[in-house]
Amino acid sequence: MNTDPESLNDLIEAAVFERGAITHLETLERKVQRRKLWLRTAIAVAASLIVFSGVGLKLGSDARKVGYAFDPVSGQKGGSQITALMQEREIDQAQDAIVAARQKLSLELANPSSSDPEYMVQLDVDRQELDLLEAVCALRKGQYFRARRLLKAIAAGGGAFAPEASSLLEQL
Amino acid sequence: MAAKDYINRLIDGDRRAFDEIYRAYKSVFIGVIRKAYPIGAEQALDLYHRALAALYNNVRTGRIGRDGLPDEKLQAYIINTGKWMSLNDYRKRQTPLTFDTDYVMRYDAVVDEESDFEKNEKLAVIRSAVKEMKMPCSKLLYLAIYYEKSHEEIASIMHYSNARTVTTQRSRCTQKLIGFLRKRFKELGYEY
Repeated sequence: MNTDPESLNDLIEAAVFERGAITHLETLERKVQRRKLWLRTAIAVAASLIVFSGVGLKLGSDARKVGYAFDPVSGQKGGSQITALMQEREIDQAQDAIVAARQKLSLELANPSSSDPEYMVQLDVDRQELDLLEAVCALRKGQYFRARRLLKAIAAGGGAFAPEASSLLEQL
Repeated sequence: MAAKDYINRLIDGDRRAFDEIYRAYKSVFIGVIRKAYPIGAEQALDLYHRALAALYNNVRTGRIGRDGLPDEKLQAYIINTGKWMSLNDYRKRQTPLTFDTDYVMRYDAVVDEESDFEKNEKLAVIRSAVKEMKMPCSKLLYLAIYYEKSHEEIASIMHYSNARTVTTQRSRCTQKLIGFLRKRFKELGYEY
């Protein structure tokens, strides 16, 4: 190898050029990898969104079907303005009425107008009925997971409406 | 795009052609090299970078001219260069910084080549010294030599007061590098 001063300069220049080219390509490769990673992540996120929204739509649709197939009057232990609203498919209003009825019931349970044990049992049944109607409203609004959670609690509670809740859960 | 266009564009100073070559032959190069040698993907990628750097160096120094590398031969050229480099790595030899196209295209010649110990050692020292260069010399020399920036442009990029300062600094960096190389050659027992 000739390393006289002139030739050494050429060699240095070629070596710097080589190192510069390699550094440039390494940077380019990192960019390519970053772009690939970004693209893969974007595709994965988009695919997940499509799957989740598809699954969400399907579950919501199933919940609505089950909710509307259930007749709230069939298991009714007492008369209710709420069931009337549900039959008229006024679900938002029915939910408002459930909230109002719960508040009224809470006040009555805290300070009962009668100490008759049968009256207290009736109040508890009314509460359980409100729980079921709330779950059915959730079903009719397509709120699959919320409805399922409420129905599971009712079924596990073993109260007056546990059979209805279990039956609805089976249909979901 | 035809390979001849890539080479012609590189000769004409179109640096994007280098990136395009990189993307065009990467998969096939890594596939062929990994099939031929028991090396990992990272090592194959490193060989690809070095093979393309050699290609560009040969274009820059005029060893590959406008009609020096026929269209259909570019892929074979890059792959043969990679194979040669891999063989040299295995034999613990340095691949020259620039080389003739005919030589690398005749793979049998590469396999049977004689080894020059002094040449290898000196080249290893030069490569290592350039790789280990510190700032600001590394950046300045890359900008001047690889990116072919004018001294005015370098002054602007590296916040030097003017082009004259860049000229002085460049000369200092080169002299520093030459001084280091002379010292190392002497330590290894070679004449300058």
